[in-house]
Amino acid sequence: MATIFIRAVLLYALLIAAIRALGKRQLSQLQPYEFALSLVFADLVATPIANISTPLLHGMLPIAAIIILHTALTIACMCSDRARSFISGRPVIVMSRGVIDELALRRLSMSVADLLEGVRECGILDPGDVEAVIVEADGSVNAFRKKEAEPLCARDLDARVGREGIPLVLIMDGKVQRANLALAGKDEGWLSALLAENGVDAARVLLASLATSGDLRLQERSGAVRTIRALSANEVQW
Amino acid sequence: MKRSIVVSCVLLALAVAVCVWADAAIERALDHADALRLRALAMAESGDEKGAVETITRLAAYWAKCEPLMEMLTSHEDIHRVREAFVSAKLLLQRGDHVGFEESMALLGEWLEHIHTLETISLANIF
Repeated sequence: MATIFIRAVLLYALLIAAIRALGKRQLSQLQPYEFALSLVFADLVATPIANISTPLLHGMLPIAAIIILHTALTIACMCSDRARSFISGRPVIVMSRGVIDELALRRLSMSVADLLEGVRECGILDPGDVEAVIVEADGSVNAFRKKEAEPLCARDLDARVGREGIPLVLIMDGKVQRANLALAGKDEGWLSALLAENGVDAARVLLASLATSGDLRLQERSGAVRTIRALSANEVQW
Repeated sequence: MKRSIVVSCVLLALAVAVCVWADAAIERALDHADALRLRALAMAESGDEKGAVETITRLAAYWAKCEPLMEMLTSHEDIHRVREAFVSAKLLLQRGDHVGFEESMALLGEWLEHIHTLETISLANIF
């Protein structure tokens, strides 16, 4: 019994390492060869875990082989457009200028119902608002609105708005995020002084994030939410 | 990308090294076991039953020594069948059942050959 437990731990650790080695795309949208890889991995790991008479190497070596092959395919896709289109396929425009390309849909074995489903998943209810639809190589559908159907943005109103960059999380679950503090050009001393000035204990902060506007928005464990003016506009460096 | 290439090359080298070493280790064990089997058969055929039993005992001791490594490299069921075959052969010989002994030794040879065939790179194994 203990043997099965130990084998499961070892193979699970190997699986995690393999998936990490293959990159973040494995966790999101999969290309066809990546999808095949996910299916194979699961089966390769399951058999040696459950069957003690199967050597662990019979699971580990195939995983190693697949990692090597996957890396080779990924490099081929990165280096060559032709290889990428052969291995992964190309994105296909199935709707352009508001007109559905029936032939393109048929080549992809998609129906109009599938197209409308993809359009709705992009948050567009009325197909008449759609300018173009692209079916990506991984099978996902991306739909784009006609200009007149798009929500107004600051550019349309000729409005000048400030830059909104990535907010930096400075405290998470009571722990100071030193790397993000360094990105902001500040240190723990500055943060402690700022919080002390506003009567806040860092250990009791659930989340504190510093926006590019210079405001530090924090939520305490008690549920209280506050916004503190932390930096001036010219102090924002990231 | 460079890191991926390096990691893949290292992984490939490791995998090839493990495969070559595993093949060599299994072949060595199988060859030695088969040599002892043939020696025991020859001794029994020439009338030296005591020598044959001693040789099978040596084979059993050798197989017991190889088992931990063999079990990491090949199917446990095949390894246990080999052990069963020479235990059975020893008992039959000690009882004076020469026909049964020869059958068991032939079966032992088949199991050793079976492990050897499974580990060989061949079209039959690949497909």
